[in-house]
Amino acid sequence: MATFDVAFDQAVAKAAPGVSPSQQRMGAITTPLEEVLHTVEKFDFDATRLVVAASIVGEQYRTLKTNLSRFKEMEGVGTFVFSSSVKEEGKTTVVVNAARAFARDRGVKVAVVDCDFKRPGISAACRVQGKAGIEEVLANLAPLVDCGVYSKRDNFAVFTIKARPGETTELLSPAAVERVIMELESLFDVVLIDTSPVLSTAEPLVLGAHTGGVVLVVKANSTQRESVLYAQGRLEQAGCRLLGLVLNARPSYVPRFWWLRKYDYFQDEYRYKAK
Amino acid sequence: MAANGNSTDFRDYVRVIFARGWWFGLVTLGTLGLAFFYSFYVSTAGYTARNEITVSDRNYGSLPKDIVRGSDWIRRTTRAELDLKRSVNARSIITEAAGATGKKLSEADAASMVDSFSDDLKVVQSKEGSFIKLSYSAADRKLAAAVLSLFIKRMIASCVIMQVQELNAEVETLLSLKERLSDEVAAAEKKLDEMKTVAPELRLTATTMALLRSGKDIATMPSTEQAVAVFLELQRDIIMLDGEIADTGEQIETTKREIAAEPEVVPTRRKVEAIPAVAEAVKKRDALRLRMAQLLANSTAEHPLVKQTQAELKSLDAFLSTAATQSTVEVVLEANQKRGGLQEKAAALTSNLAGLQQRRAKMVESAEKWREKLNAMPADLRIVRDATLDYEKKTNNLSLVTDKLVQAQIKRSLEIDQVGTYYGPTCDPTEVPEKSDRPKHALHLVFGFILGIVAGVFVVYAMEFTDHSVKDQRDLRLYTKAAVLGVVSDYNQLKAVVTMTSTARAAPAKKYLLAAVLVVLAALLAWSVWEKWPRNQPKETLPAALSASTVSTIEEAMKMYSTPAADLEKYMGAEPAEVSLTPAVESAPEEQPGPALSE
Repeated sequence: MATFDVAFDQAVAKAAPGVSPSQQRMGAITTPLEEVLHTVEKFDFDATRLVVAASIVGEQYRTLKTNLSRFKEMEGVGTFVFSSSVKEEGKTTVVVNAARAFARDRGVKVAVVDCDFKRPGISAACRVQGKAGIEEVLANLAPLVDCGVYSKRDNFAVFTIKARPGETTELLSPAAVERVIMELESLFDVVLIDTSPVLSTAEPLVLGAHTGGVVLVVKANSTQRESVLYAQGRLEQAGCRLLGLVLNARPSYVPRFWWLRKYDYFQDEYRYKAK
Repeated sequence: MAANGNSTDFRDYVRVIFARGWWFGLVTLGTLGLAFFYSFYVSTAGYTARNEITVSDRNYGSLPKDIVRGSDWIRRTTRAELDLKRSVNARSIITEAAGATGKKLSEADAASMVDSFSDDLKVVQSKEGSFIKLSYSAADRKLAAAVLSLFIKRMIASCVIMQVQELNAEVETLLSLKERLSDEVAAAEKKLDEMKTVAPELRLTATTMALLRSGKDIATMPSTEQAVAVFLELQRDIIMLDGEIADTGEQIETTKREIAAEPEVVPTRRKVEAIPAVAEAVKKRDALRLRMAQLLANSTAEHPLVKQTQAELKSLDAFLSTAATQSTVEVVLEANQKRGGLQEKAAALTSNLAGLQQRRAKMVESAEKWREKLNAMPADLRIVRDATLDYEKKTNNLSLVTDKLVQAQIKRSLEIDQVGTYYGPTCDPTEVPEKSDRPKHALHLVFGFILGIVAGVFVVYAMEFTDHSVKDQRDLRLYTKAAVLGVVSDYNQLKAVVTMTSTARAAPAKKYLLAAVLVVLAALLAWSVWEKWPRNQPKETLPAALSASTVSTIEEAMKMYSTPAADLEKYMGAEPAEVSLTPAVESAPEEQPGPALSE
């Protein structure tokens, strides 16, 4: 993170005691989330999706978080739509772990919103379910706060889908999307939206047009190059901004015994070190 | 993070192989396994017996070279090989070899051996015919050696028989020729005898011929013989004269040509000037004239110098005119002297020629006279002469043929007596091979391994080139031109590594167990290779009947082919005894007078 003026930080600390400088910088509201949302002690994460923070992959998620928060700092973009070109590229895993990386900073308010109505995954990944589903919020049948669940220990909120797949139709009207996004942005510093694939559904296009931009998750050795190009073109056509790409599940090709000894710190530095 | 990833690195090529390591290993080990299977289970082992027939020429001894020739052996062995490789002979050889060595061959095995006999048995002849290399491959080593031994024995035997047949044929041809010539000689003799009885004067004429041939004094001869002698003398002289006349004519022609080449000399100015004194005088005169002109240009004619120069000029002109006439006469005379000599010589030769021709005409006249006398003599003289000459010629032919026949008979007797010991083909006993022609396992395995690696690389790269999925962030950047925000490693792979390592640390017993299993497997493999690896067999020998590959006598050779006794007798032949060495040498004929003349 960029270092700001020390004098400015001290001035802020003096004016508003109890609020950290980073909170001030991210422009977060000071109301604690425990008072607003339904609160649990901790999420019971799905072990297959959970990444140990003190590992290589945890470090890589922190790098991703750093690159994303750069958008917040520079352009004020705090809402990121996570999508992919085809299904099963690891969107939900990336979103949950990125949220955990964001939430390591206790002063930042992070929300994870599940907008993949065909294959919802967030409630299964975190093993929680809000009082209302996000589809009800979008249809203006329930208030947003009824949908969210906040975990004190994990320090981020989750907005899940309640309806079974196929029950929902035409929820993402631009007006409703705009209203819900505004509401979310007023509550949270960072909003991570988990959506469906670009090439097969329209949700990411609608959401991307009303938020800061879309992040495409690409699974290594699985997604075809042409698929990524098509998805890029589709986003461009719909007027969405492609913030960047995330390469997921990239295997290491050096043998294991070697890998453990030599490249256990940053294996990619080996390949791309400056010549 | 993704800086400087645009160029392709050597590590990228390695990555391609590691990324599909399982495929690579599978293909490599699969190919190696195929090579192993082929080497130890598919390719069959066999034994090759080898031997060499030597047709040495160092034992020619005193025999002439054309009696024993290497090329004959090439021809004979080639014929014998073609004959012995026929399936009937192959079957008999294989059956006999199996019987002698005590091997029991199944019908199918024997049939397959007969089928591949001509391929299994290889015969290589040297160019000069000095040695022949033979080899035979079979599954059983003793059988291989036995078959080869028998083959060589039969080959030599049939060569020997062929040789005897050729010798006999030659002798027979010469014998029939001799018979025919003897008949002719007898007929000529009979004719001479008839003439003798019919004409009593023939005795005289025959004697005349003999005398003429012996070159005795003509004075002692009777008149008829004198006539013949004088006529012949005259004829000889005429021929000599003809030669002389031709020589003289040639000489005349030569002289005429020389005269034509020598041209008649005519005096000319140039020839005079060629004399050095004259040339010098001319040069001096020219100088004086020049000086004169210069003086006259500067002074009058009365000047003493001018007058002196004029006097000098006058004397020089006088000298030149006299010198010209004198030298011209000398040169012309000298040149025409040679020509005159040649013309004289030609005249002398012409007169000589006329004399010779006159003499010849006289001689011809006298010879004609003598010829008339001779023509008046009985015509029997000529007939008897022809008959005598015919008889002599035939006798000569007969003696030549007799000579050749004697040589052929000597050769035959020598070769038949000393077959296989003196100069014929020799061969060491065939040995049982000790080492099998095992397939080259090490070569197969190394080759299979290398081929496997090549095939593995090929397969892996083929898969890589047909796979269009995203491999890494460089692919993303190159294709989409968008920023890569993060790269997330495969967490499952990482977890697997961590799990494996921790498990191995937690339970070392399992590791040792795995190592033990691997060691046992490797030991089993090594043992199987050790067992199958080729090694030398103990030494073994063929039974005595088969061990000797050569044939020492013709009887042995004939027995091998079970020829009837009558044929054997014929080949052995009582004929060599008929014409023995001693009388043959004595009867070597020189120019002998016919029986009619000896009386």
